Formats: sequence, C-alpha cells, structure tokens
Amino acid sequence: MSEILKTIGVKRSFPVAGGLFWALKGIDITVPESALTILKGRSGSGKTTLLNIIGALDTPTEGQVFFDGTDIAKAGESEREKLRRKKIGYIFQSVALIPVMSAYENVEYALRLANFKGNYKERVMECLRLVGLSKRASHMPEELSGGEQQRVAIARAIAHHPKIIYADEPTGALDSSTSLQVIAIFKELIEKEGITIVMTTHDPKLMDYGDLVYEIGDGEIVSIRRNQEGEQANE
Amino acid sequence: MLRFIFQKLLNKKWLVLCILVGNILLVGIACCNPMYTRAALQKMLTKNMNQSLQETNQYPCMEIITAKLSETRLEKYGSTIFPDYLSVTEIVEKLYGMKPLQTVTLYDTSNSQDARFETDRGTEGSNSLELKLAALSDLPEHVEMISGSMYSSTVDEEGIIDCVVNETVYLSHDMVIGEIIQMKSYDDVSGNPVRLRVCGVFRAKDTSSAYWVKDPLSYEEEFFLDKSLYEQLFMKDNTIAGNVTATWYTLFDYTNIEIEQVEQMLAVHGKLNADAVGDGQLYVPVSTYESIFEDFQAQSGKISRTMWILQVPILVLLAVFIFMVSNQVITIEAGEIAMLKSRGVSRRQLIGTYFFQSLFLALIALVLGIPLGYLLCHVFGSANAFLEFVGRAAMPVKLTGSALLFALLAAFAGILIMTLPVLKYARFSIVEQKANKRKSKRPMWQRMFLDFALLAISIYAYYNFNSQTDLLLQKVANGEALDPLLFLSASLFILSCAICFLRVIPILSYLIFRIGRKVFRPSLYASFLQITRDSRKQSFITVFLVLTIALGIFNANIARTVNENEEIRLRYDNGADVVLQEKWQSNEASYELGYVDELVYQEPDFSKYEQLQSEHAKELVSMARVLTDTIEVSVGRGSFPNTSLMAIHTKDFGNTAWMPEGYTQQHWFNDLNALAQRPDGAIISSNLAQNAGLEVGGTFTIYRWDAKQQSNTNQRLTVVAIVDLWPGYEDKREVKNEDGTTALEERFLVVTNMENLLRDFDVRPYQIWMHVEGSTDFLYDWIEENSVRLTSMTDTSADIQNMKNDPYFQVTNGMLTITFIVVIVICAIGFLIYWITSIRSRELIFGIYRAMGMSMNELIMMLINEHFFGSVLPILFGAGVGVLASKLFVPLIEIAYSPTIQTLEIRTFSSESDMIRIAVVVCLMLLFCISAISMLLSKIKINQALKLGED
Repeated sequence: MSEILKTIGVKRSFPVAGGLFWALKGIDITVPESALTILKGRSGSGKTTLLNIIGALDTPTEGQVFFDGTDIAKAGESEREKLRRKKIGYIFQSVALIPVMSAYENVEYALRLANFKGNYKERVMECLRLVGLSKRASHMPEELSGGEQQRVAIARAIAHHPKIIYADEPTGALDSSTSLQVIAIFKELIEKEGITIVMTTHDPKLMDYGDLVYEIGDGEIVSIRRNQEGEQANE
Repeated sequence: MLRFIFQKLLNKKWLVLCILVGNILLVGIACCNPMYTRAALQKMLTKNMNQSLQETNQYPCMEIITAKLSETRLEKYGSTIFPDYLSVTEIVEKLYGMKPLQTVTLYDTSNSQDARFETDRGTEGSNSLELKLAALSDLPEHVEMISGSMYSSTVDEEGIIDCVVNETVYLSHDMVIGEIIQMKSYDDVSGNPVRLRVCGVFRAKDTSSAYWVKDPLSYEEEFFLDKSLYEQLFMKDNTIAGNVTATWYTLFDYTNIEIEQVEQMLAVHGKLNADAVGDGQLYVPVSTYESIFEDFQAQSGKISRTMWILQVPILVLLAVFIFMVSNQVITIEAGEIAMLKSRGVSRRQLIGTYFFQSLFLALIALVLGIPLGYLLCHVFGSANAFLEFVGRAAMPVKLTGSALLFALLAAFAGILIMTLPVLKYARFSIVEQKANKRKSKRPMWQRMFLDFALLAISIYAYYNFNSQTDLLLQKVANGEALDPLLFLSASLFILSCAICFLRVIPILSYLIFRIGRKVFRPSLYASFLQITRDSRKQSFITVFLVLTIALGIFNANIARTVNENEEIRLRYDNGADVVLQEKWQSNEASYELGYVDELVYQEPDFSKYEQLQSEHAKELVSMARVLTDTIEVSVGRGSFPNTSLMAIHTKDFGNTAWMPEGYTQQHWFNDLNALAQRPDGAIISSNLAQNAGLEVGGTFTIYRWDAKQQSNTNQRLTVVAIVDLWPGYEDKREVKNEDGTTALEERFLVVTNMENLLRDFDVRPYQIWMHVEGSTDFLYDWIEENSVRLTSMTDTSADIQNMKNDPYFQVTNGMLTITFIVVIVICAIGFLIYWITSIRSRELIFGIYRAMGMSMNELIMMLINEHFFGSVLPILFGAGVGVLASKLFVPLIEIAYSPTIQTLEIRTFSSESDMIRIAVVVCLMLLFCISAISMLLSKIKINQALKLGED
C-alpha cells in the first residue's frame, strides 16, 4: 500500500494568555492510499488541529506535510486553495451544506469549484446514488434529515474525484445506526472509487472499521493500530 | 432581571446603540415640532406687532375704550363689566389678567368749545379761540415745562382753573403765560362759567415713551388740567357737565406677549365688544392687536399643519428603522428566546423582559431626545435654504407642555416598536421555531397584491390632484396649507414603488442566473442563487434603501423647487434688482384745488444717478428709466381701460431688467430689438392681443386720462411683438368684489418707446430700475447722504431675504433639511448594520466555501455581486423613484407655496449639488461597507468559522 500523505515533526502552537499553547507537539503520521485512516482522541487532544493541517486548511508552526509528493506546509494560499478545490474533499461534523442550494446543486457546486471536466449531471447523480439519495436530489437542505444531509455532504466531498477526503467527526451529530451507515458508505467509496479517507472520531465503537488508527493525546501520537484490511468491519 | 437586561444590552452594544440613536431622533424630532412651531410663531407674532408699530405708528398691543360720558352713562345703562367709569382701567387690567405696561386716561370735551381771551388782543378775530378742556393721567411725570409752571390741582380763590398747553397750541394763539381765557358757553357741574389760566407750556420728555399713545404734538386744541380736578369739576356725583369723552388706554408690553395669550386676549376683547353694545352703544372698545392676532391665528394654523405634514415621513422612516434593527437583534436572539421558552419561561415573562429593555432605552431616548429637539429648533431657525444655514437671532424656543407630551408619545411609540418583533418569536418554542424555519411562503402582502393596490391608489390620487390643480390653487388662495393627502399620496407612491421593487429583484436575478448559469464562475453562481432564493431576508433593507434614497431626493427637490420658484417669481415681479421712484415736485396742490388745469411735474435731476453709477461702476452695472402708467387701449373691437403702460429706453432696459432664462420660446431681447427698430412700435401682452384681436403689425391707439378723468392725450402705436412674460408684469390682478371676496382679472400690458411716447404725452414720474451686482448697501448710504426723497423703493435682495425669513419657508426648509440629513444618517447606519449582521450570520457558510477551495477574492466578488442586487440596484431604483415622484408631485406641492397670481409657470428644480451630495454619501457608505465586510471576512479563519458550526 503506497502512502499518499506523510507528516514529519508537525507542531502547532496557539497564542494564549501568558505564552504559547502547543496543540501539536511533533506528529509523524503516514496515510496509506485507498484506505480509511482514523485519528482517535478525546476532545482537546489535537486531532482536529492535525486534520486541519493535513487538510490544507491550516499551516503548522513547524514540520513538513507531504501530500501527493509536495510539502503543503510551505505552499502559498492560492496553491492550497487549488489543492482544496481539486484534490481534497471535506466532511464536517455539523451539517455544512449551502442552505440556498438543493442536494443536487450542493454536489454540483463542488464540481464547479473544481472545474470538473465531464458530464456534471451524470457525476452528481452517481455520487448521490452512492450515498443512496438519488431520489432526493431536488430537495433543499432544510427538507432533509441530519443523516441525509451528512450523506449529501459526503456525496459533495467525493464528487470531483478528490484524492483524499477529510472527515472531522462525521458521525458526531448522528445516532449510532446512522453513524454505521456513514461508515459503510465510506468503505464502499474506498472500494469503488479508490478514495483515501482520513476521519477523526472519539467514538470507540468505530475504531475497528479503520485500516489504520492513530490515537492522539495531548498533541502527541499515543498509539498506532493497524487492522488487517478492516475485515471485521465488512462483516 | 435588571442585570440580565443590561447584560443582554451590552452584548449587542452596536445594534443597541443604533436602536438608541433611532429612538433619540424619534423623540427629538417629535418634540421639536411643537417647540419649533411655537418659537417660529412667537417670533412671527412679535415681528408682526413690530411691523404694525412701524407702519401705523400706533402701539400694537393696546385696548382702547372710549365712552361719551354725557350721553351714555355706563352705570346707568347697565354695563355688566364696568360699574363705574372711574375704575375702567383697573377692570380692564383685571379682565386681561396681565400687568399693563402703561395705562393712560384721557378726558376731553367731546367737541371744540368757543372761548375768548379776557385780555384784548387788539385785532379782530384773534380774541376768540376754540379749545377742548382735557386731562391726561400722570401728565406731570411725562413732560417738562419749557415755559411757566405745571398746573395746580385746585381752583384758585377767583375760581380760575390752571391749565397747560403744548407748543403748538401756545404758538398758534400767540399766548402769554398767565393769560386768562373764558369759556363762552361751558360751565362746570355747579353751573359756574369756566375760566382758565394758561400757566405753562409743556413738552414731552420722551416722545417714544409708551405713555404717548397719541403724538404729544397732535393735541392741537387741548388745554390740560389736573385729572382729579377735572373729575371733581365736570364729572361729579353722577352729573357730567356738557359732553365729556373719556378714553382709557391700556397698553400691554407687546414684546412680552406670548402666543398662548393670543386667544385669551381676543376672548377678552370679544367680551368687551359684547358688553359694549348693551342698550345702545355704551362705549367703544377698540384693540390695536385684533387684526394682527387674527392674521396670526390664520397663519399659525397653516404653519403648524405644514410642519406636521412634512414631518410624518421622517417619523415613519425612523419607526421603520427602529423596527428593522430591533427585529435584527431579536432574530439573533431567536435561539435564546426559543430555549428560554422550552425551559418554561412564560410568554408574558419573555415579553416583559423585552418590554423593560425597551422601556430602559426609551427612557434614555427621552432624556437625550428632548435636548436634541431643543437643538434642532435652533437649527431650523437658522435654516436659510435647503442644506444652508445662517446665523440668525436665536429663536425664542421654550419647552412647552405639548412638546413634552409629544416626546412622551414618541418614546411610547418607540417602546411598542421595539417590543413588537419579540411577539412573533415569543409564540414558539425551539421545536416550533425550527419547523417554522422551513416554511418560506411569500409574504402576505405579496400574495394579496397589496403592493400593486397601494401603487394604484397613489397613482389614482396623483391623477385626481393633477386634474384639480385649480381647486388646489383656490384652497391656497383661501389661506390653506399644503394638502396633507397630497403629501401622503406622494409618500405612498414612494413606499409602494419600493415594495413593488421587491418582486423585481428575485425575478431579475433569476433571469440573469438562468442565462448565465452555465458560464458563471462558481462565486457568481453561488451569489445569484443566494439572491434569488434568499431574497426575503433582504427585502427589508431593500425597501429601506429605496425609501430613504427616494425620500431624500424628493425632499431635496421640493425644497429646491419651492425656494427657486419663489425667488424667480420675486425677481420677475420686481423686474430688476432695485426699482426706485423719486418724489417729483409738482403743482399738485394747486391742481387739486382747481387753480390750474394741468398737472405739471418737474423732472428731478437725473445726472445725480449717472454720477452715482460712475462712482459705483462695479456694483451698479446698469440702470434704466421706466415710465409706468395706466392707459386705455382703443382698437376696432373696443377699448380696454386700466391697461398698464410701460415706456422704456430699449437698450438700457435690456441691460437692466431681469427675465428668467428659458421661460419664453425666444429670448426677450428679440422683442426689445423689434421695438427698438420702430419708434411707434409696441410690445403687447398676449392676453391683450387675444382680447383685442391684435396681431403683429396691427395698430391701436392709447389714451391717457388725467387724474380728474378729463383731458386725454392719445397716440397711435403699431404692434411689433406679443409676449406672455415681461419683466415686472403679472398677467392677472386681484380685484375686490362688492361682497368683499377677491377675484382675478386679466391685466393687459403695453410696452413702448419712452422717447416716442413723450412726443405726445407729458412726462410723469418714472421709476429708475437698477441692475446691481452684490450688496445694495451703497445705495442706501447714497440716498441718506444726498437726502434723496423717494416715493417707493423695491430692493429684490431684501425681498428675497424676507422670504427666507418667512416662518412658512423657514419651517419648510428646516424640516426638509433635517429630514434629508436624518435620512442619510439612518440609511448609512441601517445599511451597515444589515450587512455586518448578515455577514456574521453566514460565517459558517463562508468557511465552507473557503474549505471547498474558494479564494478570498472570489468570496469578496460574490459579496459584491450580492451587494449590487441588494444595495446598488435598490439605491439606483430609489433614485429613479425619487426623481419620478418629484416630477409628478412636486409641481402640485409647489402650489401650496405660490401666490394666487402665477404668471410664470411652475417648474421643478433640482440641484446637482444635492444629487452629488446624496451620491457621495451613498458611495462612501458602500465603500465603507465593502471595506468593513472585507475586513470581517479576512478575519474569519476557516477552521474557526467551521468550529463555530460545531457548537
């Protein structure tokens, strides 16, 4: 399995009253391609900060982040914007659909932003089918339930064929059966689209589904666990 | 709870500050109305009385009661007010309930009495004289003796009464101090013949003193004796010798009369009038203030009504503003409200909280608003024209009960407006609120087409008013103010245009979206979707922007139109900057008496004017002699008496007289040239041409009658031009009908060459018209230095200044200016609040866009596009509506400010500088807003914005 992303000595500090708070204290991780990598940890552990950095939303104070062969920690803002448009997809904990756009348009919008070459309609419907929402394409976000909205968000995240998807607590606002549904979709995406997914969670029940699980505590990697092809999860 | 409220207020300090500003303005403007109206009226009242004093030389605030004591006895015939003539002044004082400035009692023998000097004067006739025995209260205190001594208060042992006279009487009879005069047939109440001794000659200490209700030198026959002696001798024990007229003057200090006293004083006078009739006329009460006060009452109603009418739109706009911001605050707090509701806080408690919060703000507004109102009054007082202020004497502004009442009402209205939005939210718990969010129906008024209905009503009203301009004119002629319905329909027109526009924006943006969706960049795509699908949120700010801009332009145009038309009218009617007429020497006296048959005038030396012009070449640009007269025009169809004649020297006249540009089809110089080319030519007014059937080239004869309607001279003239307008010419004049009403009558004009006219007609006093650049002060100095005697002088610059000082114009200019400024201020504030809160509430969405790879510039582009539809379009539309409303309604509103005779057509004026002002303010507002938004946006860290979403 090849690596799509690798961090070396990533540190991130935030100014606080009376000095600096080090949210990340030197993280070295590698993310394998076409697999589900889970960043596990309690809230405040630094997992979201790490996700933001590897997702090109934030820059590290120190260290390097190699994504697809380049160090994105040193990339300029416009380069990172381009990266986000073309190669990265995001899924957020809270429902993060654009309220004035329908499910279809939300997904399509990602294609527009990425300047997708190909048939928009086909691709949008394909993605919506993947998350099981092809019938609700014309619904507005406010007309969908929380789980459905999250699935639209997933469809949007994968639409433009990103190399990697970052999901920050994607199941945080969902009940456990819906959460499992979301994980199942992730698995299916990895299988069918060959996508790489990095997600954070604090839910211990989901640990077993990850191919690679980093446990983060207090800004440092506490443990690393590799599951064999995530077989348990498929059953 | 109080702490809770304060906490809440502090949290939203900017928004709360805006609400507070709105409330303070609301209170300030509401309470300045009665204060200002009162101050303006007070000023007007004092001014009117002052003017009356100058014009009539009579004290303007005086009750004069005259009674012939010998014929009608007050006590006998049952005056209910005056039981006794000796206490009249005290009773008048008590009735008025005011301390008089001065009371004066004058007794005199009603008719002149024959008398003779006891010492023989030698020549025939000079022994006898006519005199009136008189007494003036407190005379010794107000005079100084220039000869002899003051009278004593008793009769001497020989029965001779001491009396004093003024210089006029003394000199006219060649008297000697101590001379005895015997009345021929006038006895005192005891039946003794009256003998007088002239013991002194007096002169008034101070003729300008209020005591001298009559000029001290106007007593040409009066011999004054002591007042109590007079009463004792001639009016004792209900017996009165001969005819005695008593006049009681009660003077009130007119500079201290307050407008509240006007009605009461008129009532007192009315009561006296009613009592005086009694059984035959007991006495005659005359007040010098009655006509002044009655005029004042008519004018005051007009002024205060006008002020109200002009004020309503700004009050409504402020109310809308407060509502908008309060609504914004409550929208932000909606979640909190719903949470409180679900935790069991009752609806009443919730509303109570907001009510107290509003109450607190309203109290602050009251405390700050009243001084603001006071300040605004002074600002109004110095309004010279629209957006133009000058230093003037301070207004007599006073905080009155009604001002306080209006302030309270405004504050109360403020509380209601602020609490109103919470009612909507207080109904729902958090669950219902979320469910509610999903419903997005069209607003009720759109479903019911209320916007179109309102527009239709306002347009109907416009056509109605427009077809009844004559009626409007009639009303104005009757002294009525601006028709409130007219102003209301104009405001309604603007409002309904604004809400109709709400339908247009989504349709327009949808069309553009449909056309361009395939090619749009993602930012444009998203912003168009935002505008099309989320237009309801914007509707309020859209309406607000359209309203403010349209109203601003509309008001500016009203003000400009009213001022400009009046100024042009004044200049046109006067004809030139200065028009003066010198007093000519003539044989008028002998002519009147019939000693000579012909009235001959002696033309004064004109070279002194030429001298003046050479000395003041810079100021006195040119001048012209203009002979005006009344003539009779005779032509085949008949004759037209009372035609105005104007004889001129064409070149001088052309350089001097003033005509507004663009009111005539061709320049009036063409007519002058035509006249100059034909010595016997005449320019005639079009109404004369029509009535007399005259055309260019036609001939007619003019006749001039002399003052006795006897001889006449005539001259034959040829029409060279027909005009509608001519400097100083009004095409109608007011004539009084027999029943006292006024009607308009055509006024005809003939303009001819003076040189040619004077070949047949003798010269009569002509006017001198002057074209003056800058100040006319030099002219007044010159007149005084050279003691030039003028019969009339018109100074157009002074007239224009007078117009600007007129309370009606001042109120209008002040009110429109304040409205304009307030509109601009709240427009800017409202705009900023809307955008900043709108950006704040969408931070999460912006975070998502950013996370999806949208660049900052694209995000700003997106907002600018939103801005264009949400602000720029409404602003442009508002400007359009403002201009349209001005075109439609301003000419109608202007009617309320014009005189009855309108020779010049009414035009709508707008000032470029006003439009530039509005444009600059708007651009600054937009720029400021965009930069504020950009700053806000750049501060949003994507990860933090997204974090926000996690809460």
